[in-house]
Amino acid sequence: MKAFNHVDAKSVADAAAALAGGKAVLIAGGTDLLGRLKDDILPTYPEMLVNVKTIPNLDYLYAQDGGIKIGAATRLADIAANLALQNDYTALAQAAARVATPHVRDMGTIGGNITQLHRCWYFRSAGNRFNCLRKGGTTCFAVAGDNRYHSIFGAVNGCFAVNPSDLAPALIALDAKIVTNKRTLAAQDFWDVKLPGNTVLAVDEIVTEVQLPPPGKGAQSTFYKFAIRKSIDFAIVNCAVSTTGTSARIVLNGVAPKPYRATKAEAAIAGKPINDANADAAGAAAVADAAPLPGSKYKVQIARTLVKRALLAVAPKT
Amino acid sequence: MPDYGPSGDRKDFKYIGGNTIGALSLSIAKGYPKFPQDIVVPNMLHGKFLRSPYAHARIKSIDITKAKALPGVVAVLKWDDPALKPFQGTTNSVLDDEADKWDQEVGAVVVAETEELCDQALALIQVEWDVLPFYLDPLDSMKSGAAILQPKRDPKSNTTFINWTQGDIEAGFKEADQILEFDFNESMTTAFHPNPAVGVAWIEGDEYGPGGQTMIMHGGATNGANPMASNQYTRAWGWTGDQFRYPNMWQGGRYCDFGTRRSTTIAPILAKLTGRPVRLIQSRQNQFDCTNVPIRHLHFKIGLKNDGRITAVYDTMIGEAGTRGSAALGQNGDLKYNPFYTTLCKNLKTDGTISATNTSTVQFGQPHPFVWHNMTLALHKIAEKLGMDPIDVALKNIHGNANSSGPLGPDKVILANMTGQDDAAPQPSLVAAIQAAKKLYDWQWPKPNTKKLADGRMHGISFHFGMCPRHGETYYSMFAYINQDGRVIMPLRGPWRGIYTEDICRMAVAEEVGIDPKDVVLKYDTNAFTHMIGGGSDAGTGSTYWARECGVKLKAAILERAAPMLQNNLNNPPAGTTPPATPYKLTPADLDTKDGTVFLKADPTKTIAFSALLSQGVLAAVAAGKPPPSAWMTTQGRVTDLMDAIFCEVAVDTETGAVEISKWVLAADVGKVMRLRSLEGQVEQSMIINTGYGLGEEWVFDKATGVLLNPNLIDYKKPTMLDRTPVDMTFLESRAGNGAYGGGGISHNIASTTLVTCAVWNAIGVWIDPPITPDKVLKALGKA
Repeated sequence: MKAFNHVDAKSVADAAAALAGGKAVLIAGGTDLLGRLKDDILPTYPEMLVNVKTIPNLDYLYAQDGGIKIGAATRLADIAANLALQNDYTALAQAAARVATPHVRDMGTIGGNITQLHRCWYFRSAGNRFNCLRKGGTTCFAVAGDNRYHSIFGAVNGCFAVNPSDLAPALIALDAKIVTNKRTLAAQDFWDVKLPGNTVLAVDEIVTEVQLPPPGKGAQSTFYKFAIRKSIDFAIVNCAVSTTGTSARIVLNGVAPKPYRATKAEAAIAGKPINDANADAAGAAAVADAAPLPGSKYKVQIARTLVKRALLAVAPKT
Repeated sequence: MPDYGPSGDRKDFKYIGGNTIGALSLSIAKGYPKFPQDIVVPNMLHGKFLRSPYAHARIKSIDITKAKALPGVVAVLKWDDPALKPFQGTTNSVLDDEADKWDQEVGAVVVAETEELCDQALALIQVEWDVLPFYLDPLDSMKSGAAILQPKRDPKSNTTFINWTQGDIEAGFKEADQILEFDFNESMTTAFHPNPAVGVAWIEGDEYGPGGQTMIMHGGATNGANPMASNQYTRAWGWTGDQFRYPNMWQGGRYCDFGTRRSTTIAPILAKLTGRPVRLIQSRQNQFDCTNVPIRHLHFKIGLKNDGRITAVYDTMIGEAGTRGSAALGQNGDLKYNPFYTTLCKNLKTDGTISATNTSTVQFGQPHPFVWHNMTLALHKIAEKLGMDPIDVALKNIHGNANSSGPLGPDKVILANMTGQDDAAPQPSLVAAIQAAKKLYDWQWPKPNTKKLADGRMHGISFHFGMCPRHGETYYSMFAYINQDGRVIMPLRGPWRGIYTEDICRMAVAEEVGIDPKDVVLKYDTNAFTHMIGGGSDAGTGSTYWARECGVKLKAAILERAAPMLQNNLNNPPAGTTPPATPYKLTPADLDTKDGTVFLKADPTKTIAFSALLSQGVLAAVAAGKPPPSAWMTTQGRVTDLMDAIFCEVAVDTETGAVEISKWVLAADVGKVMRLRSLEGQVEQSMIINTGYGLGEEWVFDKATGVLLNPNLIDYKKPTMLDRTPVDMTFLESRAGNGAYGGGGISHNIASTTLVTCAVWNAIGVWIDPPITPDKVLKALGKA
């Protein structure tokens, strides 16, 4: 690892000021960042790490006005263990519980999880061996290379790497809001594909809070994750579903450069009882627009299955 | 059953068969060990190699001027530096101008005050590369016209050939009612070990030694802190062997990785050159430098009678030899350990083609452990062909445990020309193992693709039988003496690398000497001659043969010393105590030992402590030699003894392609359980290996560049603890092994790449090469 300056931010404003020059990065849990720095995967190396764990009052989780507010520095383990979330925002608690390993969940934060960089073994090859599109290069090496873990819904800005966040689909499914030092965004609008970032955040913009709206009457949600191993792995496909009355929000991740809102699946199930046939039809609709790469075709079947199973999991019990 | 081991018929065990606290595992649990990466000393420099960005390239030109000029850089050596010349060989060098795999050390090494300065200096080295053709698969490198990868080894070919034949293969096929042919392909799996390879070295003054200075070397050769490793330095520098010390005992667990890393080799050279301690440590990525199972393409042709009996087996293997420095090329001797020798079929032929590649160093040159995967696969392919239960196929074909020389003689020598391939009687050890396994699991062989579980997944099972190799064929040396406090001390040369042989050796010594194993102290000393490791973990029981012998000798010495001393004590009691009416006249036969004391058998209250015996001088024993030859090592299965049986149960989700191993069942005749916890641990680790091979582990290369895409533990799918499947296991004790008390061994033959493959076939009716990942399952089912 190369040397860098490390500063403990006293406030969000301090941290934002440090970021403004574009040569610093935030560190909270550091579970994504430190791996990137050790492997030196990017063409440039940050001059400074700005520690946001020292900012007071960024680590909280409480109910307010019928909803839940979660500080950006709240650890994933705390989110997974929270009873209110487990009961009323099940998908989020389940998603947090499936992130990586217990150690990572004890360190990683909700802010870090939703802003982590994408997974692509070309992008993350050590020493910037593959200077891809997301690093300012001209090639997405996955297109002609081994793309078994890549997008099934095409590229964004030429990139086929997938967003790996487990929390992202849950937050979109739950219609969460993400608060920064500059604005409040619907979770749906939070993710993007940039050089190399994965969010719409400006250079000096910092996530401070995640807000969950009051759960609707009879609301149910769930989260499914498919990976080769039962721990550590990023999702090959994950899926969050929330239902209120006869409508559903269905979100996939690990399948596209941004979390994928399966609107055709939502339309397919809207107003219908959730049974095996309807859930299966929704699963098929979820992947109707899939355009997988040769190596990622199998993910289409998995995505379809996860949508079906997640819907059946939240179906009213008769 | 023959009684191979000494005291094979002993019944009264106080310690053997139970558990002791592992001497080394206790240290680890307490956090005492210092592994090579923990070694940091004052005034230490850091070293780093230039590494190749290409899978195969030669340096056309290199300019190190700017790197040398960087403040904080102490030295930059090119491969042709005079200091490195003596360490360059024909097939492998500490450094040269050619890399034949991605990320390989090549061209230059930098020494600087910090690791970061090393990185900066490396970035300043200007290299013009001659990028050369590379091959990631032996099928490509063996083609006519392929570029020659290792011209110094062979300027004309990348390939070597090996073959073995027994009997008349053509006659065997003529005799057959049916001919079965099939292919099987294995992916590369890593020999990754969790502790990074490190070289740390420095020179210390030595006021007693003839050379006046000593090279301290941490990291050592990966296979041991072997003093022989210093030979290359003594030759180059004119130093003597005793000027090298290897104090680092802790190297971490590893599996059949015998390679010395360049970081380890070069550290003493750089320390001598700079006059300061130098440390080189491999990164996590660098650690993916050695394969455990290389790529192999197998083809089988098997002649069958309609009742399932095998009449001929012709198997061909195309395997990769890896890069320079690999152990594999031309050294696939383990191919001759053909598991079909355990069958009644005598018509067997094996052809092997081994071809160099640009993937990895292949330190583990043999096919998968003793080729048992061939047998497992064949059993199920035959079962498929004939609609049989694979256990019935096995029992139809395995030969008995008689041999052509009749019962083993009193010398218990197993001759290489012995065979049991005429003995059609049931093999008792295997029959007992299968029966024991069936007590743990309700084995009901379903037709493939027929049994659906309540949750909708498909159920499948598979069967594997094997014969424990116990390849402890090296010489073992044991030394034990009584300490001042009465405990037994066993000086022992390290390093520790994950094999708990030492604990069972001290249990054998304790059993014989008559002392609690916790009072047998393993005293690690790099200068000690004695060692207990060799030939793999199976060899642990082989080493107990001589540990027991050492204990027997030490006990004899104790009793010899004790007899006159105790006699004197008893006949001359302290003042005021009445002497015995009839003076004692003791011989060693009158005495025995217990809990660190010698007692009079006729009156156990009459004792003398071990420590008291030292007033007349040292009490020590040495025992050394090979254990008796094992049936497997000597006859490659033509004579059978200890067998084992494994069941694998899987559930396959046909909608997602997920495969879950729901149960492992193992029943093994281990001869004699020595230390139960170690034995269970060996089984657990083998099943973890099977899980990894079966479901996730493989090296993935970018085919356009030859760059390894998954050199980390996120993308390389080694099983986690949550992926561990419970193992129901039971052990049988036929006492027919070649270790002490008839103990055998376990591990190598129960590791299998094919158990999961066969179980998945049983579940869904299609054959899939490992690792059986969801993409392959869904593709095989027509869903991807």
